Amino acid sequence: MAASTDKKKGVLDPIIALLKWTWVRLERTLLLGLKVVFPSRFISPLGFLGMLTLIVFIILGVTGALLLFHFTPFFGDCTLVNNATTTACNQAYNSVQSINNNVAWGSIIRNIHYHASNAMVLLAVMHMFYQYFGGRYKLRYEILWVTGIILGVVTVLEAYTGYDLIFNIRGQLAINIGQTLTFYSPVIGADLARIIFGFSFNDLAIRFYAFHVFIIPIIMLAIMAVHLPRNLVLDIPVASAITGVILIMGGLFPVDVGVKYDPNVQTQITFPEWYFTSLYAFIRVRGLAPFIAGAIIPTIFVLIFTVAPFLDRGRKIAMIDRPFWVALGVASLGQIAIVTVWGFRAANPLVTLTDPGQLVIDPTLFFGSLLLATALGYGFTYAFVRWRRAKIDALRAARKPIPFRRLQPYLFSKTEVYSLLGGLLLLQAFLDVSIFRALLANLNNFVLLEIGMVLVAFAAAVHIYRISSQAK
Amino acid sequence: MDEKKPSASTTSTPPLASTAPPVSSPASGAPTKNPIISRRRFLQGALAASAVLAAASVGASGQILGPLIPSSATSLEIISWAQLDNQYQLVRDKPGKFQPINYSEFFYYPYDSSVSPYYKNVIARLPDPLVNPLNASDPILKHVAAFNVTCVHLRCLVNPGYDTASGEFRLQCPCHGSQYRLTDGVPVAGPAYDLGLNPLPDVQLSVDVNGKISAVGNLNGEPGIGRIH
Repeated sequence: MAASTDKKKGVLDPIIALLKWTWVRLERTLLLGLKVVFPSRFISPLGFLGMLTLIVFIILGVTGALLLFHFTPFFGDCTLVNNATTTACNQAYNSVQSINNNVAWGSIIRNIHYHASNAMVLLAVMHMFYQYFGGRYKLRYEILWVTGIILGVVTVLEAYTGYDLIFNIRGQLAINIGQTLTFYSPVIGADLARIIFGFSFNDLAIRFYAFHVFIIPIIMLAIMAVHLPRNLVLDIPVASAITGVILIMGGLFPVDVGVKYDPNVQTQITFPEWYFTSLYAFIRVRGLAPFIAGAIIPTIFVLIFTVAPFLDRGRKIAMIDRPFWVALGVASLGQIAIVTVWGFRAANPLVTLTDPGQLVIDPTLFFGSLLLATALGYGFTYAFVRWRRAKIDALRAARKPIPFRRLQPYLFSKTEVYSLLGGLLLLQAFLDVSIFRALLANLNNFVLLEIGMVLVAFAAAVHIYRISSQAK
Repeated sequence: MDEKKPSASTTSTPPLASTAPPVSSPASGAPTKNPIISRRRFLQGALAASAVLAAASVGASGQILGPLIPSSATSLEIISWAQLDNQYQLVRDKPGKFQPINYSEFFYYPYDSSVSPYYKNVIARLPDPLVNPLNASDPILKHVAAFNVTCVHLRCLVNPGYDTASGEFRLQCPCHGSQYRLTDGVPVAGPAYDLGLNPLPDVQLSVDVNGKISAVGNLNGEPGIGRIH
């Protein structure tokens, strides 16, 4: 500051002074207590999947807030007038349809919200499994781990209340099943069902609205306050790329509003969202009571993961030292995959689905495939880990070096960097022009796709810059 | 760190000489009086009682979470017997149209359709020679069956139909394939049968001198739960 007399006075000086003033005073707040690392070189995004989940949560918050302006949390009156349903029937669905078709930017925002919700569930699950295989659930990680599991379950509940609010037949199927499962909970079932779902469908709409936009997000924030680790990694290009991918997915696979639920119209066969098809498969198994299938079995599955840190007392965290837990994780992944596939399809995947009777799954076939997948997944992984362990031990005993292969990053030459960056800039400029053209032509999917591509191009540009500065 | 105390829940309170049991604190100034209850004991007891009372009051206020239950109808005129029978007579000889959906009516009772789809019911003219065992003595009502259409498996809405495989008239669920007998609403196929669930709730009917059929009283059972005998 003392040297400022020598320097020329810049135009930006007052702004910089203001920023410094603010920064110094921010030291009195919580904000600067968080240690946020902006990595200067590329690190694997698998390590900060949790941060990416948080970023997607923020995207969901912003887009959700925008959707609030146009959504009507009201079911309405479905009395038939002259044998036809009036517009008063299922107003929640009508408002979502109007967001999709009439509201300016409505379909774009809704698409981002939908695909971000899928991304959040997916990222949360990936985050969990990455931390699990990395052994970061024990040895003073217990609270982070358990809050993470709770957060994951609450995330799925948030997604559930969200897609029910559309009141299409898919949401209706989920409401019906949720209500039945809640009702069959022991002792408090009937009261709980009344509290969660209300009595009428208007109660249900307003209650799920309250859950989805306020109660569950607040609970999530509260758990996050405990779940956030002290050291955060915020990699701007990767965050930008994830956002871009969500937008691109929205552009390529725009979500429709679905078939309107109308109690006067015959129900059609539907399937739930992908993160529930596993539960749906269990519910459809012949002779398995819905409460056991849809509540007890998933609870046991989640509980096994919750208590993992309290059962795994070993001090070692490397995968190679934990054959049992690694094999258990792989087996559970196999289970999830098998059951999810079962859930998507009719009982016999080779026959086209014409009759709801085909939805009933044969228990022998279902549990047989499940057991087989679990046993194979567990057995092979366990054997493989033990084999690796034995090999390394043998090398160590023979005092030979343990081979360790590391991929050498490809280093760009200066010309390559310049041409790539120039190309990316040109691409972004082209996309920007294209976005405006698409906007003028009302091609919302193109707009989404192209904004997504711009974000990914930005991420690529920063990444290339980072690699090139690393090469020096 | 503290004196030996029966209750383990002492936190980081500094040792209070006057409240400690007399056995363990001979060094501190001996209390002049011997109170019935020590101060710490009293405070702990008061705190616990207050916590219990506060919890009880919060529990009592939990009713705010319950929904308002709208008023229900005590009777509803559904359809006249002549009209229902006429629908049946029109299609009874037409093989393509001889489906119960063509001689049945949907109605909402005891709550109207603005309340909940789960109170949707169906009244069907039973195709001859079927007879409703629940109203077998009434000359008109024995030809009629009325049930709540909320499937007791997972609450989808069932439809009256004909099962070609068994040659029976049934209420069929479009979601997971549960089937109920049209005459008495007892599950006969699908998940509701496999799991041994309750029959569909039936609507209590009455018929007046003009042949108007009405629903009266409450449903015999709960929608989505079924009839419990």
